[in-house]
Amino acid sequence: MTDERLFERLAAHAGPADIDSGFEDRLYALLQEERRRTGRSGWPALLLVAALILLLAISAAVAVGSGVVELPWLDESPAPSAAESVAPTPDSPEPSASMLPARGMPGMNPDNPAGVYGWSGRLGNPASSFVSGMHHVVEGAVAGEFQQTALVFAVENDCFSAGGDPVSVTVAGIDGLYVEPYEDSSVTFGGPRFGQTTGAYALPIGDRTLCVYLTWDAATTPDELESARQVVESIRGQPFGEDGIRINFRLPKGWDTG
Amino acid sequence: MPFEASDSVRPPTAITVGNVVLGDEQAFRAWYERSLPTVYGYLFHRCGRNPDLAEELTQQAFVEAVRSYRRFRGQADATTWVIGIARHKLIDHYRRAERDARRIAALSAREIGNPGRAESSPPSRPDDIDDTLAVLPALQRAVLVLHYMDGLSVREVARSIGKTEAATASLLARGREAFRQAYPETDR
Repeated sequence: MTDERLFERLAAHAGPADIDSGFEDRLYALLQEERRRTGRSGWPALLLVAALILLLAISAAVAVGSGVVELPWLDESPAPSAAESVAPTPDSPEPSASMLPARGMPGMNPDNPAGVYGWSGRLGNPASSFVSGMHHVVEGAVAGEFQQTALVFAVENDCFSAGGDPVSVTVAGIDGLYVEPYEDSSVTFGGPRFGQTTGAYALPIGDRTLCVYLTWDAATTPDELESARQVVESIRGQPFGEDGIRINFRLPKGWDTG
Repeated sequence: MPFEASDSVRPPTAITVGNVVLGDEQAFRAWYERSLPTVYGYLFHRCGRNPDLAEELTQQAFVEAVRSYRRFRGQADATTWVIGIARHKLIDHYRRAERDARRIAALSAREIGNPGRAESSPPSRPDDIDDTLAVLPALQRAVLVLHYMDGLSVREVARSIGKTEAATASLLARGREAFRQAYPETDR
């Protein structure tokens, strides 16, 4: 048999396999239980969100009425022009907790400057889970090889759906939970890499949970890893919209989404 | 796509993810019965025809599908979607196998050429494609499966396993040679 024929055969090699009926029944029962749990977990969250929206609306009305907050159209002062900017602001101060600017992710240029960037994501928004990652690449000693540190953001009800034993951590001034290693390739940036490790953070932001997945390679240096952890440490966040979270964070030079 | 095992197990119409998880019992059952053979068959033939491992990865894929359905677009076909999750689980498995092999090699300080042996106990003389794949090192098996069986380009394979395209092409060449060498002489 020629090599060509051999690999044609490999390509065509697939087909059904006999499934143990006991396994089929056990898995179905397990999925039913997961499904019930998933369905149940949604309603309290929805009620909580509705209550929070009501509370925010009342608070806003009180704040405007008492003069604590001045609306631009009731005042001659100019509106803040940088509020919706997606460009980095290298020298800007830490965003205030009361109103975070809507900043963007760094983009695909590997030479992005250091500065304050941002991200906004919503619960269950696929774009918020998979393309909202970024990495910092360091070329290796051997041509073509590289190592990277990467961060992926998501808003989820459960940041540790793949399991693990969470430990308490305080990150960015937030008391949260952390799992390492976290074994779930779907949260890695650009897919899984051999020898990599992921640490998963669950950080409560108001009534929502920000998931931050930090992944690094076996060859990543302690300094590189520490630099990535400092990015996590710089996160400032607030609830956004009905079920979203907006964050700002500070990046060193060279992080990109490409 | 090559990973869809056979036309007989493909759903006749697309069942969307949201309908499956949030839908009624009948829709959920229909999705499960249509998807399970496809997902299990996909994994079974890619992990050394090891039923225990195929069951474990199948379970992980379905549980993650139910838990994380909100991440996915409702328009996605539910069977194709769970196959995508299964592929991630398979790559995770290859990663663990590769890591274990390196750990064992470091401990024993001798060359271990075959991390697949421990997981599936294939015969010493492989007699078909599954057995041949099972005796290859995890990385070589991964690139052959992703490239030839799943139909991914070299670039896509490189992205999946975290290697450069050049390194992946080289790995693929070594995998092809190892596969050709291990494939039974009588069948060539």
